[in-house]
Amino acid sequence: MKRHPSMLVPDFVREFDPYIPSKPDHLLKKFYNVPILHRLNNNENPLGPPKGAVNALNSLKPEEMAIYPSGDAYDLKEFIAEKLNLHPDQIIFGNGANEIIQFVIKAYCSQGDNIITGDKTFAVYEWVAEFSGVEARLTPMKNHGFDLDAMLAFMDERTKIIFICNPNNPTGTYVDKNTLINFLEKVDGRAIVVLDEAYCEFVDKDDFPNGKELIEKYNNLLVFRTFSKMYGLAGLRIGYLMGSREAVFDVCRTRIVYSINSAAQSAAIAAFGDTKHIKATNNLVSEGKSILVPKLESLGLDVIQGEGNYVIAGLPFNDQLAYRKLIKKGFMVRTMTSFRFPNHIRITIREKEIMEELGQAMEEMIFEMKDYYLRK
Amino acid sequence: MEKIYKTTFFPSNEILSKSLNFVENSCMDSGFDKKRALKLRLSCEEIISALYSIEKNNNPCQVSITDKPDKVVLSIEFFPSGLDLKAFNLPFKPDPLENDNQNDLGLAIASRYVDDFIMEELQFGKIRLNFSVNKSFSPETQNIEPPGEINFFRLVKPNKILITEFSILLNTFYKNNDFHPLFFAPQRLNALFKSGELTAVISVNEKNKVTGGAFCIQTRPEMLEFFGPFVFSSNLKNQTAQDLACHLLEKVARKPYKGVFCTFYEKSYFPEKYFIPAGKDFSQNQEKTAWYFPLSDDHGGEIFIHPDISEYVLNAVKKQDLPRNISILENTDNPEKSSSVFASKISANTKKAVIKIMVTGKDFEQNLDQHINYFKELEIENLSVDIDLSVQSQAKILSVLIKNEFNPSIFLPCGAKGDLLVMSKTLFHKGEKN
Repeated sequence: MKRHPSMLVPDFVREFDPYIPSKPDHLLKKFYNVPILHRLNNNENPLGPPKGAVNALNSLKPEEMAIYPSGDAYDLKEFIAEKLNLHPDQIIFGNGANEIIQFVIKAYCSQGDNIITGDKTFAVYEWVAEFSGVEARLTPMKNHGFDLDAMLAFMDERTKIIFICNPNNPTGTYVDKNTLINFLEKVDGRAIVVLDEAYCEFVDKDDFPNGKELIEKYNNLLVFRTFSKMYGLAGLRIGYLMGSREAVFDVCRTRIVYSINSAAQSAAIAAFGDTKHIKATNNLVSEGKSILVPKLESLGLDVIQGEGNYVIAGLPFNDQLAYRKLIKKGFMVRTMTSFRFPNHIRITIREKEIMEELGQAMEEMIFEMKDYYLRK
Repeated sequence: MEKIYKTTFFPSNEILSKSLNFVENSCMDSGFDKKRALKLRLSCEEIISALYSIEKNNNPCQVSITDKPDKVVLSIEFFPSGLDLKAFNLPFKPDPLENDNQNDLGLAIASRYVDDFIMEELQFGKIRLNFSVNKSFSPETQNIEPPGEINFFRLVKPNKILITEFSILLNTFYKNNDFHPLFFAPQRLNALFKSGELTAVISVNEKNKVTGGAFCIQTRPEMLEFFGPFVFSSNLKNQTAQDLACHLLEKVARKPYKGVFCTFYEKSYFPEKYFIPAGKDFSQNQEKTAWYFPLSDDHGGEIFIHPDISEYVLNAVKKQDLPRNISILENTDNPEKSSSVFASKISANTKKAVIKIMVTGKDFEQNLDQHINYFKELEIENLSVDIDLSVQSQAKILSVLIKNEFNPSIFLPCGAKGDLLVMSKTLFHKGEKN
C-alpha cells in the first residue's frame, strides 16, 4: 500500500522537531540594519586557530581535494596518541563532538535503554538519545552543577550511559577529581560514563580532573575533546574520543569513516598542544571576564560564571528581548531558553575592548528596559 | 496523525447526494458518531445547494473532511461569486417568509449547526469555509488525591498514563472554574498528545506520582497556547513551576511557531520573568496579564496602523525592538463595496466572544452594532475583535472600534505577517445584568 513518507518515520523521531540554526550574520545585519555584529554566541575563540594550523591550512593544495581523506584520521591519531601517551586504538576522531556523541549512543544503546545527564547542560546528549528511541533521564542541577547523587539514584538496569560535561556548558561548574573518582566507584562499571571535556583547556585548577588519566583504571570511562573551542577550528568540525581499547573498539562499530576532512586533519595536527596559543587565549578570557563580570554584577544581574570562555547573565526580562536589543547594538549573544535557562543569556568572552563595549550596551539595555520590567 | 478525505466536483444536482455521501462516509471512517456527523452533513448540504442554485456556476468546488484528535472539520473551497456571504454573520436572522434569497437562509443555517465556523480567504478570491464539530469526551468524574508535601521531584516525558493522571488532577483542581470542563478531559488531552498536537512536561515525585504539569497546544495560526504551569503538591510550588515552564519552553522552542501565548495560569507561582507581557486578557471572568514568549527570530516586515491607535502599537513594537516597517495610515476611508462578514466564537462558560473579521465591508459599523446587541442578548460579558495588522483594510476600521469603546488589550507579534492586535470591550460589568 502506498504510504505518505511521514508514515514511515518512527514515532520517537516524529516527536522530535528539527533544529533551526540561527540565520547567517549577513542576513541578521540586514534584518536589524546594523553594520557590525560581534559574535558572542557560540563560544568561539576570537584569536582563531594557532599559527601552525593557519600555516597548515594555507599550504593545502586545492587539487588534492579530489582525494579522500584518511578514513580514520590515521596520521592525526598516531600523532595525538604519542603526545598523550595512549595507544592509537584508544582514540577515535569524529566530525565534531556531536558526531562522536552519536557513535557512542548508537554503540551502547538500543530502544528502551536510557541515558542520564543533567537538565541544564549541552543538549546534544539528550537530543541524540531521544531521536534514537533512547530515554534521556535528566536530573535537576544542584548549585548549577551536576547532582551526581541524583544521577546514581536514577540509574537502573537499562541505564547505559551517563554524560557529564566537565566543565559544564553553560554553567562553567566542574566535578572535581575526588568527586569524580568517588562517582566512578559508585557506578562500578554498570554503565559507561562520558566525560565531555570540550572546554578543559580553559581550566587551570589543581582539583580539575584529567579524564585521560583515569581511563586506564576505569574501562567504562570515555573522554571527549574538541578542536572547536580552544583551538579555534570550529569551522572544520573535528573532535575526538579517548577510552580503553575495549570500549573504543565497541564505539568503532558505529563510527562513520571518512567524516573528517583533510583540512581538519592537517590543521588539528598543527594545532594540538600549542601552549603559546592556549596561554594567549586564557589570558584573553581572564582579562575579558575581569572586565565583564564586575560590570554585569554592578548592573544588578545574576552572573553564573565558572570555567570556560563564557559567562551567563540572568536578566529581569525575557532573553529574546535582550537578544534583539543587543543585536541592534551590534552584539549577538546566546539566548538560554534552549538550555532551560529562560531569561538568561550566555556571553562568549572576547577581547577587552569588545567586553567594555558590551558592558556599555548592557547598561543601556537595562536602563531602556527599567520601566518595562518594573511595571506592575 | 490526522486523516484527510478529499474530493473535488462541479456543483450540480446529482453531485449533491454524492457529496453528502462523501461527508457521511468520511465521518464514519473516522469513527465519528452519527448524530455529530449529521451536523456536518447538513452544513455541507446547505452550502452545496446554495452554490448549485447560482446560475452558470462552473467553478470547481472542493470538499474535505479532516479527522482531528478533538474535532472533525468539514472544509469547502470555492469561488463565492454570486453568493452574499453576509448571512454568515451571527446576528443575521433569516426569515423564510421575508427573505427572498433562499441562499441566505442556507448559509446562515449552515454556520449555526456546528461548534465552530471560520471563513478563510485563499488566493485569487477563492474562499474556504471550515465547519467543525467537536468530538465527544466524557466529563471526568474520578478524583485523585493531590500529592501533598513532597521531598523531591523530577520532570519526565509524558505518556498516556501520566497525561491521564495529570488531567484528572487538573479537573479536580479546576472543578469550580468556569473553564469548559471537557477542555481538560483526559480522553481529549490524550487524543491531542497521541496526535502530536499537545506537547507536555510532567513532574513526578519519588514515587512516580504526578506533582504538576504544563502543556502547549495550537489554538491560533502560527501560535501555541501555553497552559500552566500547574503544581498540585503543597510545597516546592515555585521551583516546580519554574522547571516545568523552562522545560516546556525548551521543548517547544524548535517547533515551527512564532511564539507561545499564555492566559491560563496560576498567578501565585507563574514565572513571569520568563515571558513578555502581551496585554490584558479577560477570560475566566477576570482581568489577567496575557503573556507571550517568542519561539523564533523575528525577521520583520510591514504593518499598518490607524493613527488613533498608533501609540499603543508603536510602544509595543519599540519595547520589544521588533523589526517593523510601520505605515501609519493617512487615508482611513473604508473603500469596501461588499457586505462585511464576521466569524464569531462564543464561549458560554467564560462569557466571552471573539470576532474575526472575514470581510471588513461597507456596513462594518452597522454589522458590529448588530453583533454587540446580539452578544448582549446572550449575556456575553467581554467581546474582542482580532485585527491582523498586516492587512491594511483591517487597520482602517480601527476607528470604528474605538468609537464603539473598544480598547487595545493584546498585541501578539507574529513576525509582522499576522501581527495580532486584540481590541476588547466590556459589555457588562459584574453585577450589571438584570
